[in-house]
Formats: sequence, structure tokens, C-alpha cells
Amino acid sequence: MKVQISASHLSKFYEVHQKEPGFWGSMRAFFARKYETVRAIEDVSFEIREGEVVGFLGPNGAGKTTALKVLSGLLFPTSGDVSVCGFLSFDRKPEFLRQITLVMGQKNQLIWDLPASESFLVNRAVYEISQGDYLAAMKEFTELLDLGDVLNKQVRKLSLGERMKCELAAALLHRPRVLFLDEPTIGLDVTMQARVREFLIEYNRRHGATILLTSHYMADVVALCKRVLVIDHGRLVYDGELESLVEQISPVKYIRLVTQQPIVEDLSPFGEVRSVETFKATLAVPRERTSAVAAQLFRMLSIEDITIEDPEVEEIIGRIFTEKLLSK
Amino acid sequence: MRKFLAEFRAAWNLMLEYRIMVVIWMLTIVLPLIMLAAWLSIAEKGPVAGYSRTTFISYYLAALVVRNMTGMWFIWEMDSEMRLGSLSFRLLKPMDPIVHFLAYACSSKPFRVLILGPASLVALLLIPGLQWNLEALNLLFFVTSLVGALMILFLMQYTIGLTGFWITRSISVNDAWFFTYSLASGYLVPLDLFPPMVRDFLWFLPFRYSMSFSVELLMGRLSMGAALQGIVLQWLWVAGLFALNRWVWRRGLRRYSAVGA
Repeated sequence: MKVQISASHLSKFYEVHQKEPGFWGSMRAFFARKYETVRAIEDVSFEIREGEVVGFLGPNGAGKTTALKVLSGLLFPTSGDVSVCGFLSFDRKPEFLRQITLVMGQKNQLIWDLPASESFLVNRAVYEISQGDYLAAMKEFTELLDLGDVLNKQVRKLSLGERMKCELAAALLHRPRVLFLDEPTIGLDVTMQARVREFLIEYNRRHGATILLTSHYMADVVALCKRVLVIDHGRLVYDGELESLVEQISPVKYIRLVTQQPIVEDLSPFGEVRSVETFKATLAVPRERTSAVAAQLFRMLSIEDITIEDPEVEEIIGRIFTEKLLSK
Repeated sequence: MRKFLAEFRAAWNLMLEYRIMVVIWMLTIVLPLIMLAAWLSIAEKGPVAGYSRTTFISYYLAALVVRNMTGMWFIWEMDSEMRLGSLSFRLLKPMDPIVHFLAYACSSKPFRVLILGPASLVALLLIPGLQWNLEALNLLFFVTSLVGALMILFLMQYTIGLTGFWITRSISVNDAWFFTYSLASGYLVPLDLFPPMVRDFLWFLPFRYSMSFSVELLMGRLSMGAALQGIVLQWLWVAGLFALNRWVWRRGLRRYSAVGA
């Protein structure tokens, strides 16, 4: 599989001016502005192959959106190289723009006061989509996203979920091969989030598209991405499989057990006891010992049910950033 | 061209959503009528610099038509798109945003023709001696000059809008520009009424070709030679402003992509 997105030693710094709050702060800022250099991303390198779905994780302000803007060609990098579909993003050549799309969950690209179908017609002309391709794409999206009568309502009258479906359809009408998605499920309810995820999985499967997405919802990342890039303070701190990240960060697994008789035994020799009730207990056990411990527990207790689980990914990601586990 | 038509179609539909607003906007172009009232009282005692009361009426009604057919306000949209960052999405489409804004600037024009056409006929019937030259050839010149005037105003406003790459609110620049335009284009006062030296100077600036020139044509005040010369000068300004616009655009983009889109 060929490399679709490649960033090498990518950095983006910019200056923002600072303003103290209040009237005098504004006056001072008017006459003498203080500038501060923001190192949005610093020396970031990675490659993403065709058809991969990669999650971009990091706390607010880590540099995820800046990275997506550099990759899509909106921002010129301060240093380093970036190539997408074999093009230098920043040139923004029409042949390049026809192969990518950028969706920002918090921003609106549709014409606000007209039905979404009007925006689709504009995009059809702008991307020079043939009538046949246009109808096929519309049919596909109507089916996958259940667009139906949503298309003919004014965009401003749509619910957030309905609008997001239209946003996605409009952004994918030209069947881009590389998708940059910034928080595509933000603010959506659980059902709608699942819907969007299923749609993205299906789009990726049908068209072999490469997807790089950021999300604060772990469920998105778990459902969509095998591989994740973790960025913190502009630096790439992890690049690899989500599973191994979990193993690396969390050396324990949880054994949850339900017994037939009340638990009277001391469980602490088996691992850290997280909770214990009459018929239930949760133990945190070192990863490599889980099966052995489970076997011992089976012998010792009258087990009705036992499960071995990884900690929630949310918990793990939270720990990465609060405890700086990956920082160099 | 297909892209322009698609954008125009959307803009036209958008305009139809707000057709009442367009009518209100048309009615708010009253500056020429206020000026007309003032000059009518001044010219009561006799012509001013060769302008009789009928000449003033003909002039300001023509100015009203030209303003309606060439005026545009898309800078407000541009200003907000640049501040709120939605211009970014336009940059990621394989179409120069100038096509979009030109389509929006033109979108209400067919609607205005539908209203102004009959209104002009009524004016011709009601006002005896209206000095408008309605011969076919002259009308052709007039329409050509309207397109040129529209392009000059569009390129000026678009270029001013692009200053938004450097300053936060380009609207303030536009306000200053409108003041200059009103005085130098003949919109407020016919250029003939300025001292000859000032008038001759204004003759060469683009402002005359965004208003007064079309008014002069409709009133039949220009010879064939002067009309042709004017059209040539007008389109030279269109070309010059276009070149300036592209230069500012390229520099602005470079800045936009450097400091944060």
C-alpha cells in the first residue's frame, strides 16, 4: 500500500498577541502589543498508508487542528515537509484539492439559509462532478446517512445531527481519497455518533479512503482506528497501535468475578483489590499474570462468572496527559 | 463559467429567500433623490453651470438606476468569513473564491432590472423632457458601461475586503472608500459642477467610470468618440484593478497561511 500522507520534521509556530482583560488592557494592547510565539507543532514526523484510519489524540490545544490545517494545505509549515497524495499540500493545486476534504465538526460549510441540496449543486459544479457520478454519490449517501427529506429543508432549520450528516455528504460528494476530520461527532447524541462512525467505516471500506481524525470521544477512536498518533504540546509522543498503547500505559488488567458463595477469602495475594462485595470482586492484576491468576481463582472460589478486561481507553488517555507518561 | 453559474444560481435562490429585503434595499438608495431635491431648489432661479431643473432630474434618476445596477455589499459577507475562518473552506475547493463573491455581487441584478425597467418607463411617461437618449446604439454603450462599472466597483470592494488579511475589520476601510467614491464618481454632485481642474483630474480616476460615465451616456451627453474613449479607459481600469487585486490576493494568502487560517 502506498504512502498517502507523509510529514517529516514538521513544525508550525505562529505569533499571537496577548491582551489583558478589561478596558485598560484593551488600551494597552492597542498601543503596544505583546506577541508570544506559539509552538503549535514541533518536529512531528509520521507516514500514513492508503486506506488506513488513524486517530489523532491529544488534549485541547495540543496542536491537532493546526496539524490538520497544515496537512490539508491551509497553513504553510514553519519548517519540515508535508506531502499528501503525492502533492505538496501548500501548493493547493486543483488536482490535489479534488482528492482531499476537511470536515470540522464545529464549523459549517453549507449555505446557511438554503436547503443542503443547493450546497450540493454548487459543490457538484466546483468539483466538476459528472451527472452520473453525482447521482451515484447522492444515492449512496442518501442510503448510508438516511438523508431523505432532510435535503430539502433549510440548513438553519436542521438539527445538529441532521446538519452533520449533510456536512459529511457535501464534503464527500467528490469522493475524496484522503479525509481530514476534526471532531466529526462533536455535540452529537450517542445514536448519531454511532451512525457517523458506521458511515465512515463503510466509506473507508468501499472506497479505500485514508482517514485521519481527531475526536474527544474514545468510542470514535476505538471503533474506527487501529492506529493512533498522540500529540501533546505540539510534540508527537506516540505513534502505533491503539492496543499496544493500552498495554504500554496500563500494565494491569481487571479481573471481575461473580461467585456463588459469599467471598470470605483474602484476595490481596492475587493482585490489587479494587472492590469487593458479598458475591462480587474486582482485582487489578499485572497483565502477564492475568491468566494464571484467573486459573487460581477458579480453583479457590466457586466462580459463577469471570471477565478479564482492559481499562477503559478514556482512562488510559487521561493518564497519558495528566501524568505525562509518554513525554520525553 | 459553469462554476460561476452554479454559484450564481445559489446566490439567486438566496436572494429570492429575501426578496422583501432586496426591495427595501432598493428603496434605501435615496441619496440621489435627496441631492436632487437640494439642486432643484437651487436651480429654481435659473440653470446652474448649464444644468436646468430637468437636467438635474435626468441626472439623478440616471444615477439612481446606475447605483442600483452596480452597487454591491458583499464585503460584509467577506469580512465575516475572514474573521470567523470559513474562508478556509473556500481555499480548499478547486475554485478561486473570487468567482463566489462575483456571483453574489451580481445575484440581485436581474431582479433589479425587472423592477427598474418598468419604473423607468413610468418616469419617462410622467416626466416630460427627461433627457435620456434611448437609441439602440446608445443603450448598447450604456449597458456595456454598466458592466464595466460593476467590474470596477467589484474589484475595488474585493481588494478592500482582502485587507482583512492584515487588519481585523476591512469594513472600516470600506466606509472611508465609500466617502471618496460618493464625491469623486459623480454620485453626489455631477462632475461638471466641480472646478474644471478638479473635474479634469477626476476624469482620469476609476471613480468616474464606476458612475458618472454611465450617467453621461444615458443622458446622451457624450459624442461617439468620447463614448468609445470612455469605454476603453474604463476597461483599462478594470484590467489594472484586476492586476492589483491578484497581487494583493497572493500576498494576503501568503500571510493568511503563515499566521493562522
